[in-house]
Amino acid sequence: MTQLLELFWLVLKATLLSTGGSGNLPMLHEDLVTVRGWLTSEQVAEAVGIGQIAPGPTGLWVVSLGYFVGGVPGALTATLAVIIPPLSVLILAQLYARHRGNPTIDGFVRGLALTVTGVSIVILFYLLTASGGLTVRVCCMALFGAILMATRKVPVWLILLLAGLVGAFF
Amino acid sequence: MQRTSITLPRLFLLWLSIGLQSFGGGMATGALIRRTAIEQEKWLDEAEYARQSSLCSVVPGMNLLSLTILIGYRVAGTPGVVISLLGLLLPSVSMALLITAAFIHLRHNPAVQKALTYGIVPATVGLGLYTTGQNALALLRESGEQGKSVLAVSLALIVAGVVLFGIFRLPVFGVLVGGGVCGAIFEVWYQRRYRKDPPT
Repeated sequence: MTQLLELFWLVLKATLLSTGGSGNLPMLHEDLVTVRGWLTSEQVAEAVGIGQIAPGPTGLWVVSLGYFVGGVPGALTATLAVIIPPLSVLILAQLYARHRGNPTIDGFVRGLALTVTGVSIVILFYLLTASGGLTVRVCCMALFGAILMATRKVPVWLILLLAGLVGAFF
Repeated sequence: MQRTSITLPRLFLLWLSIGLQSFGGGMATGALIRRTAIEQEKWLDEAEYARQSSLCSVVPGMNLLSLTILIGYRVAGTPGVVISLLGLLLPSVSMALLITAAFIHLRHNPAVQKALTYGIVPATVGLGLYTTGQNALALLRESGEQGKSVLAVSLALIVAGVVLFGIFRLPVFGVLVGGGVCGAIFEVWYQRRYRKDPPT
């Protein structure tokens, strides 16, 4: 029970302080793997992978993450925690119209977004080394994913299906 | 906020069908929401949709959840928010649960392990690199349009994120808030320095 409450708080905190579906990944990785030791870096990578396979908006990888921490209750706890921060859009819809163009607000949001990209690069590197190590094969597969994604023509599920088949049989 | 006369069960079914069809991640889901809201149900027009979605990228958390919340509220108030979220998330969360539970049993199967270790996880990292790269490029392009010093500060903030977190292992929260504060200080200074009203 205490673990579930703590999980709720950690997911809520990480999601409140980030934007987008995987902006909370760096902080959750740190809290769950480095600080708490509840999960391995490999499990986080698996959760991200499963999140890509399942339907729905990007960001539901926390369902798998929660499941790894505490089964079905863990998964539901994590889901509830990611639903709450986006509710703030209702407040923002009214506030933002009034403060748009304020340099402090604009500058803070941009600085935040920029450092998030820097931190994300580091985390992606961790995930890569946690899976198959930094071999040519693993790096080629990452490149393959990035290139197919950049064409904007291949659906994500197809990219991952192909990647899975190549990984399993070659 | 204009409310339409849609019934809650029908609203639920609309979002449920979006949730069920949204295989292929966020892009597929976004396209489905857009088609339903603009073309099919005519809840809002294109320009209004664009304004609403840009708000969603500023708030914390998943953009598509914010969009679902905004549209749900517009269409049917607070009950609309609850119904829309339930409809969208019921299929996707159940599927994610089933796949995770199945995966735990299959984890030690060598083919599954190889598919994941050498295929799906690296490919996912590739997808992430692409998305991160796109985000970074968009921010840098915007900075470049404002001037060279803005572009230099923006590049420095990205590098600072990599170095402070990756090499010095500082806590993520501190790095991000520090980035935000530096961004705010620079922007205020820059506006004072260069954006004084021109003498008439």
